[in-house]
Amino acid sequence: MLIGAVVAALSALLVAYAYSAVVSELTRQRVTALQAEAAALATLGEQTGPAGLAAALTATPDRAFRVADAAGQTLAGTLAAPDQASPKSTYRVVGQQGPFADGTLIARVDRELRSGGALSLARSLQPVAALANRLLYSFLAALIVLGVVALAASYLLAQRTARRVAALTQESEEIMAGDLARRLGQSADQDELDQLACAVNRMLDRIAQLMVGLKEVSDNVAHDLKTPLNRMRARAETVLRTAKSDGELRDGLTRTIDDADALIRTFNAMLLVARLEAGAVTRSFETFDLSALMGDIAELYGPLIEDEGGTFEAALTDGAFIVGNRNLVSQAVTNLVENAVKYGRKCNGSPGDGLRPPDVRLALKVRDKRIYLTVADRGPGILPQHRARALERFGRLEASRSTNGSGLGLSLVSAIADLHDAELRLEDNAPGLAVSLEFAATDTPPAHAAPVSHARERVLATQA
Amino acid sequence: MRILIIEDDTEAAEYLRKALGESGHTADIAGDGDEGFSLARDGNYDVLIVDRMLPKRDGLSVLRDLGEAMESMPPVLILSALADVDDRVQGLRAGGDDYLTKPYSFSELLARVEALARRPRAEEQKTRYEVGDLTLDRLSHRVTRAGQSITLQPREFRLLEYLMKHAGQVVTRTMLLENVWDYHFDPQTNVIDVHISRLRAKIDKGFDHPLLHTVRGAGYAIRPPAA
Repeated sequence: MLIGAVVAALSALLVAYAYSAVVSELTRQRVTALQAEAAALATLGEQTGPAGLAAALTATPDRAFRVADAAGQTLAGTLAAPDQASPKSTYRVVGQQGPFADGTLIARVDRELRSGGALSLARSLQPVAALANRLLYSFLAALIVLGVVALAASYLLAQRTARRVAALTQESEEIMAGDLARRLGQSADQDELDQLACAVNRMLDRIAQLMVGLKEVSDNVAHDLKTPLNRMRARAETVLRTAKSDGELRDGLTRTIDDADALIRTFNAMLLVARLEAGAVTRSFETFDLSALMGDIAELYGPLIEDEGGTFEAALTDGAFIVGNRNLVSQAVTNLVENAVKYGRKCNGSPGDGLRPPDVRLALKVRDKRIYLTVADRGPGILPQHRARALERFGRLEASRSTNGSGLGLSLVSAIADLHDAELRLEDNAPGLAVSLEFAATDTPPAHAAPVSHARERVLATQA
Repeated sequence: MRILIIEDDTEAAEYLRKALGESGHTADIAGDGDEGFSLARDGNYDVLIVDRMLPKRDGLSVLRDLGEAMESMPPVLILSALADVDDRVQGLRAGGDDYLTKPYSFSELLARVEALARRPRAEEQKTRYEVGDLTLDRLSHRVTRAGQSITLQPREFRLLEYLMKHAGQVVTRTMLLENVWDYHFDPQTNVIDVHISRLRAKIDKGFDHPLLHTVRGAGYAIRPPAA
């Protein structure tokens, strides 16, 4: 509304200015022409005298004149004597004068003749006014047409936007009502509304993806948590029914607590995977020494494997730094090592001889700004067609159903790898499984150096 | 030992009080943050067990206020359902001395509470520990038993140092993993046991009285032979 009023006022000003400019220019031209004519007639009057001039002049409907003698007496013409007090070139006629009606605007020139006498010439400015008026009317008409067109166009545009917003709203309502597969429609224009719809659609895709993950989790929770819960319950019930002594009750309770602990571990791992996949843990990233972390893990797990009679080998390049969450990465590598210990045993083929102890190899290499971390065992490995399944949540391969574990180990590693933009690969160690993680190396070592105790340890280790 | 439990789950708090009582400690219960604050400020407790999520005032803000209100605050064990490393760091920064994630086993909690209560203040950190005829010198990094020098790997040294610092107390596997290895997650293998048995082979093997004991269902303890 306000904008409309401002536009109207500006248009009115513009028209008024144009009108006055046209009128004054045309008037100026008329006066100039009249002055030239008067100059020519004055020259004639110099030769013929006022009387001659008076005889030569005739009035036309458009033009009036007056010729006076030296005494100021009118010799010919119908114009009034010039008003000596205020000589001007244009003015309004008062009363009937010559061909001009009362109130007509005229251009007038008064001249003294050098041979005595005076000449006045006047022309009507009516044609100027008429022309200016025609101009004014066509201006106004154009403005009105333009205004109407603009109003109609903006109304149509607003209608169209309102219709599209209404359609988007309607579609959003339907999605909210549960039709989650639906997406917002887009026009062919690719305007701002389309960009918005596109962004909302991408957001819906992401939500759908998370929903699928959530559904998978709840399905798996139903299956993989209910089964051990049921087993725990059955065991407790059996103990309650059949236990004859305190000792048996105690054993039953102890086993129940162990079962509960295993369930809690599974549950924690599930929550962590879900949180990692939702991308919630990137605020605690820092630069850290992956070589040192691997060294610590080798030191922690080496004795375990050797005590079981297996072999343990660590080939670690020094000074590999990455950006990430130190605790999560060590959890991932620990999971891989524990998997290698758990699944890296192998039937050695000879009858009656059980499982051979695990052989585990850790490696860390740096090449072209990439860091390759490998945990390899000599167990049965995973067939290529089963490798994708092994990375899924609860994706325990049938062959491993009998061993303990939540089946979350590798999917946790996978989630941690994704979070660190690391590539996780399951490869054939011929024989056995080699799991590798490929990280981007970072140049900058951490701003704060390793803790003093660590530094001292390294010195000690070289002395030992 | 006098312990204050600030916890809004009355059943869990009551269970804790009973279990702590059976272990020879007296415990009081505060059911919300405000009550916990005033009891802790005036009650002269040896250890505070504080739940993070409390009605009226959350556990961390209670700790911050206590830190300002008291000249020397008793050691604090934070209990929380929030298990992230970030949450742990937050809790320790707010004035907690140790952090335990729910659900927990009572033996884990007891071991941590007792370790906290007998924790030496920073200025009285000893440079030399003795348990029976076993000595550990933190400055020269020398370990001897009955006068014989024992060579330890650096990590074995830290493991023994931690055990001797808490001589006579039960130390759980998780406590060892956190304090000696700085890992904040539970491994699913008996990896700690392997290191303990290696350490045991070095300090106990060939001597009459073992010093490093396994406490069933809880962890380990190093203590002098009963006289």
